[in-house]
Amino acid sequence: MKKLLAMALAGVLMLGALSGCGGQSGSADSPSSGGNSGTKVVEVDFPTHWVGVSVNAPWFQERLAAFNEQYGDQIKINVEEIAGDQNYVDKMKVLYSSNSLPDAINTGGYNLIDSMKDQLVVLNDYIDDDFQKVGTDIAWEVNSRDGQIYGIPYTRQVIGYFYNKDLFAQAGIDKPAETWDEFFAQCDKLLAAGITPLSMDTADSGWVTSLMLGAMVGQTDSGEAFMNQNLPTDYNFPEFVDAVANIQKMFQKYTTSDAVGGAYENAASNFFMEETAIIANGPWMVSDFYDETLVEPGFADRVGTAMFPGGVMYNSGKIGFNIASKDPETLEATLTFVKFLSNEESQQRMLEITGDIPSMEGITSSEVKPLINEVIANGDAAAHCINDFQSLWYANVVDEISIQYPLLAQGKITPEQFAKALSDVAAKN
Amino acid sequence: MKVKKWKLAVFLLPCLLLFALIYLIPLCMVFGSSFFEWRSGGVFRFVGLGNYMQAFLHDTRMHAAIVNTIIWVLLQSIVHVGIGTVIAFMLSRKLRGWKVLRTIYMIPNVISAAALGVIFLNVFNPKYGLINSAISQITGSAFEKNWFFEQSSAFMTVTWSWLLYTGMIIILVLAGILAIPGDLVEAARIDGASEMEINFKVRLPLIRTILGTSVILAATSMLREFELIYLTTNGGPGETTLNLPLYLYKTSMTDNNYGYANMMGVVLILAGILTVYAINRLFRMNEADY
Repeated sequence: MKKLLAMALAGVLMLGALSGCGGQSGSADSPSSGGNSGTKVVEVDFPTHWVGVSVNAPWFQERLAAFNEQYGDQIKINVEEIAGDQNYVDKMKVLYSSNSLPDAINTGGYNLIDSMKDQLVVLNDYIDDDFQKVGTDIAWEVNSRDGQIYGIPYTRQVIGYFYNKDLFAQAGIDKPAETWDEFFAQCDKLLAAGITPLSMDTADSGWVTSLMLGAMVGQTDSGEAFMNQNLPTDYNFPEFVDAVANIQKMFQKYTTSDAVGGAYENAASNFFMEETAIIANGPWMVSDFYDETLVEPGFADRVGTAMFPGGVMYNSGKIGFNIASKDPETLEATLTFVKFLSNEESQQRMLEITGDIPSMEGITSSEVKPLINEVIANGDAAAHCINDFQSLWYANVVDEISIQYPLLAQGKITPEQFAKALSDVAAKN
Repeated sequence: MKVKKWKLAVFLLPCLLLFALIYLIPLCMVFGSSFFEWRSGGVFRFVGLGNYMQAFLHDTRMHAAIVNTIIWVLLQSIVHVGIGTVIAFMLSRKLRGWKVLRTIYMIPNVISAAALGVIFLNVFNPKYGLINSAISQITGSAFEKNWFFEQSSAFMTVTWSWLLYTGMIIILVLAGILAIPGDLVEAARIDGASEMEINFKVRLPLIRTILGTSVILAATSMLREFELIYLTTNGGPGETTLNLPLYLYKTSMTDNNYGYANMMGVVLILAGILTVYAINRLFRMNEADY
């Protein structure tokens, strides 16, 4: 009897081990029956970083509830929560390497199209003229490669910089600079008034700092063309090197001591605490200006918006939803879900809740905060419209920026060496 | 009682299957794909020793990662284990409060690496960090050294985040010291040996295998160290704090160069085997003293 029990136990252990490895839960590939009406419910896997403190989380929860109300008896969305967009991108890369990308992907702007397009669905056949209106031509262009559509846009990037009007007034500055020379003169005035001019960072691609860098590059026609180029490999050209030299000057003279090594959160915190006068960022930051757990009451009234000197604004399309469903039935359900999140109503709610600018033209709302409308107006008036580096540059170049900025800030490398380091890394792709 | 071989095999089978699925097959895939150029976008072609040649002859970043990894392995094997051993010997005297101290030394070992990374970033923050604030208080003038991100101090600061936290070594060595038969120590004492001589000439040689185990744990932990570097300096500034596991991760996740990353995986596995073999020989791990 004992022997029999022992053998059975060994068998159970082995089966347990194997079933643990091979089990499938909620597979999107196998539509399951469900619902009261007995109709087939198709499951769609959608991992998202719109969770927790993400500014998009409330919007996503609202739209998911609305989708479930409308389609819940036909489509079930399996939401996997992944905190942090970088973690999200890393997870997608792991899933890509095992050919198991989820049905719907949204990176929040990171470009995975070029590295994963062999596993993404080409969407041209599923986009009719009517749906084409959810994005401007440039928005669709950013989501396409060689005429093939790999992404569905829902938002666009409009980024300038914010400044503290009170601190500007203290330094005797009456309006934002129109040229970079004037900008640096204003930085000197702020310094003379005992105010640290700029919020900057280096960690996580140095988002705030790199926005300044790109804006300086994009002030000429050739620089603008470079900033709108997909996956550039050569950073050794005068506009880029000059811009890097200015960034070096900014690190050494015009920013806080925690900028080198600091992340976006540090840069934002310095601006919120009115320790710095200027921060480059997009309109999604505006809701924070009203959050009294972050800022003093009335802070938003002290903030102004500006386009970068030289009439430069980040004003372009943004990578949207990618789809990697593997069977027609799931693909159809995924398209229904993604089209719902990208439709006019969803874009309008996104504008109202998060301040993200819709990819569709003409969407407005009376609920939008005035600063957001100012940013949109700046974008429409810009002489040079550029795209952001995270969308267009190779991922390893974006990562390299973070580890080269500290050396640049400390004068350990020259701007030319910085540009060469980025070119060398880009060449690895 | 003699156990039949087929019964042994049946009982071992679940474990062997799990080992094969989780370790053996992926290991073979890592080894095999290290001879291929394998990138995202469906690039997969045989390059022989190309990845290895590139890494050892031309890739300066790989050279920096190897040098940093070796330095950390040596520091951890000598300094980290050395500090832990000294503290264990002090605690073994069972002075008042020794159990409390032993527990305190373990605290960093029970905090997750993610939390430790954030703690260290804050402690060494140039603007409001504990270290700079203390120095400013003492000197009376503002001190804003950027410990993690200045090239001159980055390596040392990252090393600090693990070098001194020797809780595991203390526990192991202390257990070894306390397990030494009392009559051996008593005999030495009767022969007129001082406490220092007993420590150096009796206790220390008798815990040789424990020390070997500690060195293996310490050295191999440095061949796996990733989280704290990733969370603090991300390998920078430049290549100052880059090690092999982090370079492997970046090559795989940001360069999307899986073949080259797997070559590094093979190098790490071989380095681990070599390290364990060398330490086993050095400490004569298979010889018992009592």
